[in-house]
Amino acid sequence: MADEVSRLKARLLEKENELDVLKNKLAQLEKNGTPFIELNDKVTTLTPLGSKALSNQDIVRYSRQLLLPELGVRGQQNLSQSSVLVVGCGGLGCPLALYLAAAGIGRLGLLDYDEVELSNLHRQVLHREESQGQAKALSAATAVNRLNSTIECVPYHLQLSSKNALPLIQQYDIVADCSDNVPTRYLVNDACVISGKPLVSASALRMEGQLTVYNYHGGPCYRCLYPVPPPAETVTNCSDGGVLGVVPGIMGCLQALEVIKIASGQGSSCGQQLVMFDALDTRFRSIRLRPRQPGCAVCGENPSVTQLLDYEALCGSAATDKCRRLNLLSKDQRITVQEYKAILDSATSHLLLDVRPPVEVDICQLPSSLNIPLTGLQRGNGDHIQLLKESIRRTKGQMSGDGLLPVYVICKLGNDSQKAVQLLEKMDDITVKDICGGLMAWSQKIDLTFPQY
Amino acid sequence: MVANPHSKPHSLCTFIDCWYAMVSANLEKESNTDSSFGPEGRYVAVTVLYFAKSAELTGHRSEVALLPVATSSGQLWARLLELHPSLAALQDQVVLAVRQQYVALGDQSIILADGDEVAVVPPLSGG
Repeated sequence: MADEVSRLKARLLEKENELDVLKNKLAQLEKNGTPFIELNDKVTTLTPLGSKALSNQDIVRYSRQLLLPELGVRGQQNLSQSSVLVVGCGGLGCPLALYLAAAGIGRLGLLDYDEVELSNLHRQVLHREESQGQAKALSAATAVNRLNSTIECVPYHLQLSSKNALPLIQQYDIVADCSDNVPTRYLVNDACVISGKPLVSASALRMEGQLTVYNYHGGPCYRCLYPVPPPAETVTNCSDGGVLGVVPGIMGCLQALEVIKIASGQGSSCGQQLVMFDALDTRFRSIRLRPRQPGCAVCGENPSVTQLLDYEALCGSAATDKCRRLNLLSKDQRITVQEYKAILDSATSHLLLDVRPPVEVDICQLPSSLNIPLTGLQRGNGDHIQLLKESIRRTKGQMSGDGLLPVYVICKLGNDSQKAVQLLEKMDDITVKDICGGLMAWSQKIDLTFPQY
Repeated sequence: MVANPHSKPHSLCTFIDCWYAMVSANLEKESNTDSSFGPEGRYVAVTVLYFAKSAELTGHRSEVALLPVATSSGQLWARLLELHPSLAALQDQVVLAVRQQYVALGDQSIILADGDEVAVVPPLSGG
């Protein structure tokens, strides 16, 4: 009797909560004409997806794919009963989410900790100019909802971590790694192996893309292929290296294809394949991979990783694609942009050395800077060294007295300039310092009209 | 030429490699004798493709290299390191593929033929 009473009370509470949610949605719809989308800042418990027959509306909407013998009614129903977690609503996640929603996936979890910026829009095609500053997860969910309001979208505005990854991933059938950094890739892999979920993983940089389905039908996991994370300084991210927007677009579409094949029941053929896309030659290559490795630290016979770790520590880098700030020099080897402005204003003789690659110098530069890329200095390029020595000699000739010539080194953010100072320290006739924060600090603090990129 | 059309000679060294491979292939055809012998036995001209970071480090997207017919995956990698010492930065972080098939770095034996494709594939992490 007492059991029955408490059970009924619990059910009543559940129904009241459901009523509140529905009332909120209705109020939002009546007020703005746009559906209410709740942004989650933590992992919530989701109700299981039920099975239901295709409605007439569904049949019309999906008719062109229902006609495919490879999909058919059964495949469409499988799709509508599947849930997919998209980790990262960026260049890969946007096209992926769009096609999954269009195809009628049952539930789409959209995770991103970041907010929309103008520099995202060339590749993150779900977001709009008006969405700048908005959580990417919400912006993506809103766009997806406009395309297909019959599917369930769950936006998460949070950073995936060792604490929340398992409870989140366990609630989804398939995970798509659309992240932009190494620690998250290891975290998502380990969480998928521990929860037994297939991981449809893609990546893109510059003019290249890669795709593999990990932890799927006896195939390898990410760690089978890459047991040791790369040293942080060898990793190039999109904000450093650049990326042509359509390249992650193509890779995100390929991801959508594999997710749809798995969710509909047809299965993926990329479980033991590394698909590489070369955008310069418009060419695909597939490398046949080995099966799951018995010695793998996470999916092997005797795994040493049985719970999630500190992945930022493992990889020696932050779980973001924002640029790292190096600190290689002592305080007296660096000056601030304000100090450099004062040097310019006082017309003190000096040499300003810009060590960015020419492609960046073409975007913007400070007047009277000498451009010698860091790679030229590192490789001891004869022409570059000659040019530097010549410029030092000429500038020194204009100086009154025969003191050392001050050389100030600048780059985009103040990382490469520090490396250059270390290389130039031992040169004769000069003192060399780095300009802290580089041209982006110049743009923020001294000249607001100087472009940011 | 044995190289696939994707590959373009990027340096004099590559050019000589191509020429050497071409001459030796012709000699072989004409006299049916193996002429391109080296300390490790017969050599063949193989196209090496460099992807992602490895293209940046070597300065090449592809090149033709003379490699021994019978080798191991470890020796193959060591030979590539000799050609491009900068590849050492990718040690343990790279997928090596021969004829589009993954090979584990180690003593796995590999038989190469003229025109084979070797690919150096570091992971990409951007998105």
